[in-house]
Amino acid sequence: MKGGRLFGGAGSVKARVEGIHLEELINQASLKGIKVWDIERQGSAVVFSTDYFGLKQLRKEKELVLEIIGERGLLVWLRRVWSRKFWLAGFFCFCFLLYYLSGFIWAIEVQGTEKIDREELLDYVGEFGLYRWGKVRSLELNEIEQNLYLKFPDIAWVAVERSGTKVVIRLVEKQLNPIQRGAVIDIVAAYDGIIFEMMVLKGIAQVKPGMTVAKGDVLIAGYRDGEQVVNAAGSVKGKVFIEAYGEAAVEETEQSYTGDQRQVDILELWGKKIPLSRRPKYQHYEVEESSTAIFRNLIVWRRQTFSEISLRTNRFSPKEAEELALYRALVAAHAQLDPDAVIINKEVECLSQRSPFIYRVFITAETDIGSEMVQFRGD
Amino acid sequence: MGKEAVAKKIADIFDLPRDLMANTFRLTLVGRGQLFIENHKGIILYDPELIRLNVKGGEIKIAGSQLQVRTVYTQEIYIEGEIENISLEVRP
Repeated sequence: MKGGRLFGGAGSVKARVEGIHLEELINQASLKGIKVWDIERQGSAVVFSTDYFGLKQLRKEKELVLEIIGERGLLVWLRRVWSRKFWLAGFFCFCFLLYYLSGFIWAIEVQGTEKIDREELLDYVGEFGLYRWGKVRSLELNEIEQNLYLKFPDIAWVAVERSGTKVVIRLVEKQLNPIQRGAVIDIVAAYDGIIFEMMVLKGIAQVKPGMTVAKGDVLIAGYRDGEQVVNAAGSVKGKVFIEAYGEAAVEETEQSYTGDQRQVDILELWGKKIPLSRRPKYQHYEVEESSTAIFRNLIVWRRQTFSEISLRTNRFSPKEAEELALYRALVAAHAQLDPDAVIINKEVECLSQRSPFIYRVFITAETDIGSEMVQFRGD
Repeated sequence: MGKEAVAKKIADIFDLPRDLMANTFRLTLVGRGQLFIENHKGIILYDPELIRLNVKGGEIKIAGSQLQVRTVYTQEIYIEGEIENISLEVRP
């Protein structure tokens, strides 16, 4: 409100008037609803500010001699601009040009293409008017999206968005599994062993009964016949040899987490570690550390997570420990075998007869050793 | 009962500000430096030490130093300066 500058935003004049008392001017202004501000007495004259409406009203008073000292505000600026016709014409030309150019597509960005050819996609959307320097206002973005789904079946999701003069095509491609992609399937050996029986339904046999194979060897190979994919199919049975160990002591320490965790932050400045909190007083604990370099490796923020653990000692009699070692060895051996495997021989050997007891289990079994695997050769 | 008395009565009944109903003057003093006067009836004297304003039923005298009428609106005036004394002289 000070100085009435708020009123002067649109346009105000500073005027000097002779032949009037200051009080008279104020009263007249007040009476006629004219806004007047910054009133001062300068000798016999009165200097004041008013808006254009007020000036017009005051000018109607014939006995007043008004002298304009200064002008300011939007109206004044507009009047000045109006007097500069070429500048004005240039300004309007600029605005028009800006508006005209904003009606075109300046850039097209495609995000998320991996398998889909970007150029092919751009050529296709060009048919719908989406091309560089095309008209932006005639674009039917939903229609383009729908047609993209139809044209490119590999698109899982697509969004065509316009941001000013830029159009962004964001898409996510379908993640097909290898079989859907037309990959060839081989049958490979899941174990080391000796083949004793083989039946090939599809594909090319790579081994014969009696052959020794290693884990990962191709037993039956799939192939491509032109556009046709022939996946390997069949059964390969082999004799496999499994070896496993088990160990147990009369006194074993078992550890478990108590669930209590504390974090300690450490600031490392030029190699010097400054702990920002105290370490927990755990008797037994595990520590995990993560670090964030703040400034190269000179200032590093480290966070240590202490997890309290409790230790429990299990005591067994020598007989119990021996049984436990054997049990562990058997469990480890069977875990390596297929549940349908036929065990033809099992050998148990005690490697240590005093604590810690160690057992070795050696199993000979007949099992289907073939497993399907996607062929990456030449894919 | 005159028009003004009726307005006063209504203002009292409905608990309304009297300046709204009776069109009487209203002064708002902000510290010592700013004074807003609404519903004045014209300025009698404007001097840096004394400003006299005509109001309904009397005259308001504002005494001080460096007094200045900053803005004049319709029936509203805003005075700035070091205000020392404000007095109301009731006219019979």
